[in-house]
Amino acid sequence: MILSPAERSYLYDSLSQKPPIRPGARSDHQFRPLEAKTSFLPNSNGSARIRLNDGSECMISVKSKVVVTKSVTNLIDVDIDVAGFRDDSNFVSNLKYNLTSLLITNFPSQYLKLTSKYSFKLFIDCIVISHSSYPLSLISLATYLALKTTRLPLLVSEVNDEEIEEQPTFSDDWDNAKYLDEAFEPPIFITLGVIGTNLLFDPSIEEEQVLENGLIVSFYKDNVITPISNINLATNSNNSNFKGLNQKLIIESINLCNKYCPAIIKALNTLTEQDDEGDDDHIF
Amino acid sequence: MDRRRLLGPLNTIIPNIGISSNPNDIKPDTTIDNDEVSANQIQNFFLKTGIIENANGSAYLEVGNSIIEVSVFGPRPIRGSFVDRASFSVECKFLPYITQPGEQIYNTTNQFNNGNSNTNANGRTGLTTIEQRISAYVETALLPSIILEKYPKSTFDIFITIISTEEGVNNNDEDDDNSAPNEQLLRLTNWIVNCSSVALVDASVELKDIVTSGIVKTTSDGKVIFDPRSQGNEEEEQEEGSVIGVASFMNLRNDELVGIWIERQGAINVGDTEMNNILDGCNEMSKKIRANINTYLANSLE
Amino acid sequence: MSRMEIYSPEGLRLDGRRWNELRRFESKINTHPNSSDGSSYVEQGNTKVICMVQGPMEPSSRSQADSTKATIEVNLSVASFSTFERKKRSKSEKRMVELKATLERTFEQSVMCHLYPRTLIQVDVTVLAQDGGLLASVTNAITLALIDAGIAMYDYVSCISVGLYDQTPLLDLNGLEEKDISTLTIGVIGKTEKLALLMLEDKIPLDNLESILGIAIAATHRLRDLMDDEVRKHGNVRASKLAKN
Repeated sequence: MILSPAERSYLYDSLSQKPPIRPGARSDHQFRPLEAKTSFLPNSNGSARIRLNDGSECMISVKSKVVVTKSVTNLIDVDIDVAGFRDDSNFVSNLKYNLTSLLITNFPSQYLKLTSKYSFKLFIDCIVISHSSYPLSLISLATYLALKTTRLPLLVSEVNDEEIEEQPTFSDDWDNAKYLDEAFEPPIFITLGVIGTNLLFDPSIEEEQVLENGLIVSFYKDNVITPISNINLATNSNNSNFKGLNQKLIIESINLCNKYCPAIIKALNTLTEQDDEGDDDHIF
Repeated sequence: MDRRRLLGPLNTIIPNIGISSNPNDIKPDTTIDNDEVSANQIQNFFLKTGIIENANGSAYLEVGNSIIEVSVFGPRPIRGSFVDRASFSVECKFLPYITQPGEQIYNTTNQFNNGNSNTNANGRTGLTTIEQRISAYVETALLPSIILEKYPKSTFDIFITIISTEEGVNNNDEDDDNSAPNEQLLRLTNWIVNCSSVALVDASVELKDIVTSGIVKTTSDGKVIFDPRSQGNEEEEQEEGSVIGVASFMNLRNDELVGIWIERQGAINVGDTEMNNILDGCNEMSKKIRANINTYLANSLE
Repeated sequence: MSRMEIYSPEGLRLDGRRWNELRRFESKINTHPNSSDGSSYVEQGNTKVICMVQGPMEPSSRSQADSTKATIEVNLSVASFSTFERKKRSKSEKRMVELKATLERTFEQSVMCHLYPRTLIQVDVTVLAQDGGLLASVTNAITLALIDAGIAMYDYVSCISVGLYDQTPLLDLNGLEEKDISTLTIGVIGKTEKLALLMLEDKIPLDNLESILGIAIAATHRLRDLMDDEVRKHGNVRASKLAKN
């Protein structure tokens, strides 16, 4: 997995060509093929699993709980568990920070509002079973699928419970459960590798080792949004190529994401629709 | 800490730094021209190096109510296998009694431990999610500046302590708003980067350039605010759609961008002009801070 | 019904099973061909377990290398969403540590460790959903994953939980039953009556033990057949692919 100096130099040279020559014959804006499955956890409101060809795999569960709106600071709680890493390690903490920050600032909380007093709180649990490259975009794509297929039970009691002391009650029939919103497209993260003046979407583990810098860009409702930040993706190498980047590349990355991300969202939506038709609950 | 292995070669030249601790000798760095437009003026800050004798280099920075202290340890030898370049780590900690910006949102897993946000499951004090995020930013920003090739078989460790924040001590007002902590966090991060760079210089680590950073906020009506401050809280109550960004640069090396972190309030997209405004603004501010730091370092050499 | 009836006078349990019926058992091997040397997925009722095996490989630290036999390391992680009420579990929890040690001991006996000196066999288990019989499902999943990895074993280790209600043994308890009555989990090697694992977390009267063990051993033999079917099925698929090329 770790490249030798000769391999690194070869890969660096081919990636800094214009256009870059990527391993696997991908073009610069192309994602690696992925395989996904949704709604396989009967105990959760929504679930999704994404797997890449290199064996990287991530599972998301979305669970809901009814809370008194005033008693909580936020209606979304994100937890990430990466196999082989401690929960308080820098790696896991930063994944968690990024995902929380993305969802909290962009999630339309009106979808979770139940009555004037009560709301749903969503617990998004993420397990990264195995990964080779930086798993943030993998996690966020899986979260997209899980939120897209999340269903919440139908409220049957009064919406206006300002005067009433009762707790909300729900329909017993799971078939009545509603999706968050048909049109809702959750925000996602895209990781970009910077090498020379090239920007590479979704760098693989080999590419990460020769990158000069990395960018994390978020995308929601057909537009690039914040948070935007840079990151050192080349942690597996000894950072020999790591350097600063040109300001212009940030603007370019935003334009590229605006151009290509709608296709990603479209692909994910098609995937959930196809998964709906297939009627099996099996994970594999 | 094992200091026994740190003995350098006999012919070490000790750089002529460090000033007397006599308070009369210390002048705050207020070299900003007063005639400048106030909108583009950055906050006055107080900076001092070499305050921690135990460390190879250290810096202390006060700005507004925030107090940051950074110590640099290294180059220190590492045991075990041979590495041809030094490794580099950053650890940022808030003093335990300080409310971390946004801790109700981000430090949730730790809250299970009897509300003591700084203790993990083992009862050991680990870093919280927010501290890890700051550490990661500083590490990414400073990494390109250090000439790690010069130090094989060694390691550099930077320890950052936040002694005080704008909010002050345990300000527990029930502020339910989610976006203001981000702004506070970015302001703090901005100064942490500046302070850490000076500490690296103080440790006489070989650098390609001094990394300095700036912070800029743009509002929805296109206004660009340099170095946004918390003082005017009553007037800047939650403008929907303002974008705030920190960016760190190596100004002598073609204004190479080494760190960027952009957050905002309210759901809006980020356009080209806005992004340019932020990055240019941050660059301009980083240059001003750079000028300040240069003057300070030049003075301390005399 | 004022109180849930664990075992009705008509001889039916909460989920409609008789005392000696197993829950639906489904397994799959080689589910993660790209990320592990051996992998499996087991569903026993509503308990769902994924297992991945890496190795035999060189251990990362020298302390894990035994010059006479392989070291087996089991990492058990239970997802916080695995139960109805979401609950974050720490790996250092006492029960988790004990389960991990039990599993490691079981498989050190059942795998031919002496064939792989100075190596490490790393077993990662993820529990996605639990509804009783956690240890049993985990053990079955590990067995299948080890077989998939081609690691030499004496025979299948098949595992089942049994409870005792009054005088009646109840086979393969679900989560509700497990809460109410005491449970014994046993793992049997192949079609023998040799026990590789026996775990009792509460009490069972000694006079009833024999009848419990009898039904449990019969059940594990059945499970062994079910697992063997799956392994053979997968083997045939692989063989037919080879033939085509």
